Amino acid sequence: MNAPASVGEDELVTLKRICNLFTSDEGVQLALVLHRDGQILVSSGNNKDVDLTSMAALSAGILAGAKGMANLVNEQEFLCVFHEGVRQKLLICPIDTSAILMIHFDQRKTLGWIRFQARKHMPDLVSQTKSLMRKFEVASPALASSNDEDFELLHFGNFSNAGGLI
Amino acid sequence: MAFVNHATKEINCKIVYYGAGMSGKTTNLQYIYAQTSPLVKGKLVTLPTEKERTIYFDFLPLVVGEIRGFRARFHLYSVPGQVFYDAPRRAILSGVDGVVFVVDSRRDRMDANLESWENLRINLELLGKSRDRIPLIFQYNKRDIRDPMPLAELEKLFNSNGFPSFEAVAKSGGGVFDTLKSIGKVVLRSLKEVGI
Repeated sequence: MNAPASVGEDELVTLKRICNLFTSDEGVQLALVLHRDGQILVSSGNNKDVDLTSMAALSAGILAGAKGMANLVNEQEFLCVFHEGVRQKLLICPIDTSAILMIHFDQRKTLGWIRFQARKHMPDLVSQTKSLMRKFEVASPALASSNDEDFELLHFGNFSNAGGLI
Repeated sequence: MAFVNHATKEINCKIVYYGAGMSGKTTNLQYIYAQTSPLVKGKLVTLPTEKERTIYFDFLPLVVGEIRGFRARFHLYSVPGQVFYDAPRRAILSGVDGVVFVVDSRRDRMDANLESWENLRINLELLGKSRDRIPLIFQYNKRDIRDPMPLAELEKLFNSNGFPSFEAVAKSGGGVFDTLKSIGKVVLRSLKEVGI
């Protein structure tokens, strides 16, 4: 008997497939779809040299900061944020109100090509992330059966008062 | 609001360390990072100016264990304290699940503490949240200095709502993990109440 599918599995498979379309090309190292809070939903590409958690948090932070700048010039939000180094480049785009696309590429690919691909796949990215978030919203509450004892068992560091108070 | 990834069975909570400039927010994160097993922490990301002041945010991801099959991840942020950096502060405060308000115990920093406390109220209101109702912990830091502001006076100045509070000396770690554990539990209880 097959194991039951996890919540949102279909959408995550589709999002992963779209990310793979980017990274199957030479010159694209990484494609991430993130929640706006900086949590990774799916990733594709060469992950081992990049701290994905930090990359995701910084991408979300940068996009949030860029949104603040956009508001200052009477834009609701910028359609993308681009960072260019000597060899490495990053493109960060809002997918909808809940998700972000981040692509890491190098000099073998042009910004125009990456942006074109991002726009081409954007309708699918929007529909899949919206559907995913809806499913997450109506899923059974994660903490429903939890209690204070569960919270006590968590490890918020095993070094309480390590330095001694005063 | 915390993000629950039902596919990967993860609960992701966002905790923000807030307070006046130089109150010890980054020091809290640095101590947690230094004392935590590499197995449960990610990299500590700091974005300082040339003078080592936080310009945008510090970030530290922690995995604190499992709750009924869901892995609990806490993302700790500290925001820049200086009044000048209000826009990035508000950006980072977006989606916050709990706040640690770090109070500098030096008497000559009370105006800055109060200004930051009021700034938190304004920024939360702009994000549709209430300072009185958000999960919040006070950390009275720098208790090792000579002649710190008495605890009772700090409580009277800041804590009329009776939020949990801890004395701390963040640079040597005193009170740092007590604060973290307390905000973690308060946040999880609050998330459970709202049906997460």
